[in-house]
Amino acid sequence: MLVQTLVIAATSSAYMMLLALGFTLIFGLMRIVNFAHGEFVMLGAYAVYVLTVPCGLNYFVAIPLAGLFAGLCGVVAERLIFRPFLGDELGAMITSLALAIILQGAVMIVFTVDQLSVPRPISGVLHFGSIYLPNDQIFVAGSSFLVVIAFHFLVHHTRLGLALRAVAQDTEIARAYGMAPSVILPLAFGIGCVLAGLAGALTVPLYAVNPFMGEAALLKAFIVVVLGGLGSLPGAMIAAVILGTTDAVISVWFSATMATLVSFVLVVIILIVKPSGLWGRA
Amino acid sequence: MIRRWSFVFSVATLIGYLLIPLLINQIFYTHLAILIGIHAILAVSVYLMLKIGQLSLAQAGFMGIGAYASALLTRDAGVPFELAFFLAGAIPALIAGVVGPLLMRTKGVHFVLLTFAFGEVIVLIFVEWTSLFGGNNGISAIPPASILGLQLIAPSSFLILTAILLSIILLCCHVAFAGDLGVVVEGLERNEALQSSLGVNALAYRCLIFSGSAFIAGLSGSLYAHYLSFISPEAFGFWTTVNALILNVIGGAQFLMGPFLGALLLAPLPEIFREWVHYQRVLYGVALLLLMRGLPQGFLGLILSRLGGRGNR
Amino acid sequence: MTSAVSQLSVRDLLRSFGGIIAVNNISFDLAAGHITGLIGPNGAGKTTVFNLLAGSLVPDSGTVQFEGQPINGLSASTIARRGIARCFQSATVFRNVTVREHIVRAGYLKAIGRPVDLLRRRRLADHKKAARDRAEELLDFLDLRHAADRDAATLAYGHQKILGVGMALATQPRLLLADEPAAGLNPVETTEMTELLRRVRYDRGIDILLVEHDLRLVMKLCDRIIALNAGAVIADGPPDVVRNDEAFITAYLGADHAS
Repeated sequence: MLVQTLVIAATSSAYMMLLALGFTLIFGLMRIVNFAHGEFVMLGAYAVYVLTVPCGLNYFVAIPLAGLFAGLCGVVAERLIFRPFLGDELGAMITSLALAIILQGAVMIVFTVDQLSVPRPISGVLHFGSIYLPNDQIFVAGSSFLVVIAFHFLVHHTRLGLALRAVAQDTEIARAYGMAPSVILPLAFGIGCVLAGLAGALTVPLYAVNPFMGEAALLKAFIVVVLGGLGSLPGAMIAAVILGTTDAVISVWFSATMATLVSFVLVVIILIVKPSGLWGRA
Repeated sequence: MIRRWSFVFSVATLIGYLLIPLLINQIFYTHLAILIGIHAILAVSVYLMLKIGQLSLAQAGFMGIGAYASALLTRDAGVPFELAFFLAGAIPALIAGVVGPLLMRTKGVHFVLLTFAFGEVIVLIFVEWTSLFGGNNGISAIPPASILGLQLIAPSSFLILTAILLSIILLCCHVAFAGDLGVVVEGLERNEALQSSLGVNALAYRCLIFSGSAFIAGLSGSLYAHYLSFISPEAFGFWTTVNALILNVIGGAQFLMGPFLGALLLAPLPEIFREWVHYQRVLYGVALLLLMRGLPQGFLGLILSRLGGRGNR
Repeated sequence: MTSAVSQLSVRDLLRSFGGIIAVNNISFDLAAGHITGLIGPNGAGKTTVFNLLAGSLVPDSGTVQFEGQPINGLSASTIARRGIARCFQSATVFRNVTVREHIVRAGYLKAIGRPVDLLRRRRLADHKKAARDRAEELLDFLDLRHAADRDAATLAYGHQKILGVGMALATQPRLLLADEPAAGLNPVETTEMTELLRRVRYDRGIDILLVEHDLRLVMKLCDRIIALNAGAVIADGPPDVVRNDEAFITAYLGADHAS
């Protein structure tokens, strides 16, 4: 039971990290609270559905393609929609709501509101003695962590990452690195959306796909990011682990709803003590 | 000049809103008008928060609390409608008053996120606490509204109640904001630090507005419950608040009549074009985007600027 | 600097932001009857001290007493009602509202400091009446009568700052916290502002604590100077003493040269 709970905790933490890192990256750089973040998760999931079910592509090939697709949509959205609202938090927020509505509506038109599902590409369980671990969960947890590590490498060990971190501090410094914000911002928005799309793509076989799936993902991303401190990448990672673990433990021993309630209460208590979140800047 | 015109315009709109469906006397139009009224009242509760520069995404949750309170009190506890209706406002207002000082320690983006989560929690409680709230099946057989023993079963009589209530709420807001509260609220939105340094307890006033907006949202919930005689949790989710926000943006979030105007324009659409609901979502979204880009003061702002005045608050 | 009762008494004030200590165990006393200048290079912690005194920030530790009563940890509005006013860089709060009405509102807002006060109509009416009378007198004192009926947003920047001082005075403070009163002003306006602050002190008997970058103004106007560097007091005394203080010169000129 303990090991199973740990695997669920790891899966849930990794999933939350994927959701929250993209969200907090976009906020940290552009001060945009992207209410359409959940819809990019949905786009990733639908992309996997289209690529595997009607097109018959292999699921593992479809995953990176779905992430890229979501990222591309993100770049386009940043250029076309969010650009005029740089620095206007409320305006950008309402704009992102509009984008969320449009994406939801578009998906409803194309795919109807019915639940769709993707056949499970991985089945079976690993068992060590008396411990049984479902393979598909191990796959989700493992690949999510790989993506997170790749993202971490991108941010901390590449020129682009340096520029990203510079923009978060000051656009002028970023210019000094020879990268214009007009290039970096869409790219960063795209990267955030790639992470969201991958979150959707990786969990497709576990959950069903429907036009409203974005809301739950958004709520998860919100809670993690608020706890970790808006715009803070390390904050998002640690908060994802804290919340992923509490979520798993309470879901296993009580119920999923109880888990959501408890994580909300946890976040509120921490915010009362430290309004900017665990790692947020005052 | 502009002020007088906008007052005449407001009263005329309200009278037209009530009289036109009554004169046409077809149930469908009366039904539309009632929905417009309920949406407009919820939108006014969002407007109150926008007035202090904050966006609360918990308003539909408060509407839900009002709806469930009113439904359960009249159906199961035998409380008369008049009292239940008042409690439908008072209970969410009280809850907002209790959580307000906690949530209100944050502002701007953080406040939006916290109210979003709070609204989700309210809906979760409706879903999970099945013994009291009936879970996803909701609550049915809610008795119709009745005032002084008179049952408002006919839609036209319910419309009159809705219209009167909407008018009272708009009038109360107008009077309150025209007076000293308006001075404080404008200062809160524009420069809270300076306002505090002049001796105004900003937190208390923000909580007051939050509580008041929850009261109004709760009233709209009560109307909703007794009109449809059936409620379920998903009606009070995040998207209901977002719709109310859209009504504000489209009508003109700077103006008290903005939310009502937005409701007049938009609330009937899903009822008229039932088969086109999905296309409508896209249309809503695109309209919202275009308005944010091109017409940040909403349609009322457009009308007022055509009348020759600046966007007068 | 010795006086029987110190008006403002700051003890071991400490405040940090995410590991960076902005104000490090500062202590000082302000005796009644002075214009005191708080100076220091950028990042010395001047504004943080101001925010701590005015209640915009809560100190991590330490105490602040005003007229013998502790005020640390109180909200900004409570501190304002206790008699400490703060004037801001820009004071035009209300849209389409005249200069006169800005001063009137500043004068009675504390009478509706809490929502319940809205119900006490008679008391509020008295306060409004008094605020109106005070505003007329203040318009003359500030030399803003010529602009009394103009929309405050149309005032020149220098006059807006004077209006800011006026709004602070309308709350009838006993201590005025002036946040960079001369920032952004031209030499003529700076002289006007200096003169105004001097009259606030000597004609109205209101003490002033000011944060200012313009050292010449500070040396001319203040009768006591507290110099901060890296969150700590490095010099404290009359202008002539501080001007020649070893630590002050190194910190100030050193910092200036470095930047």
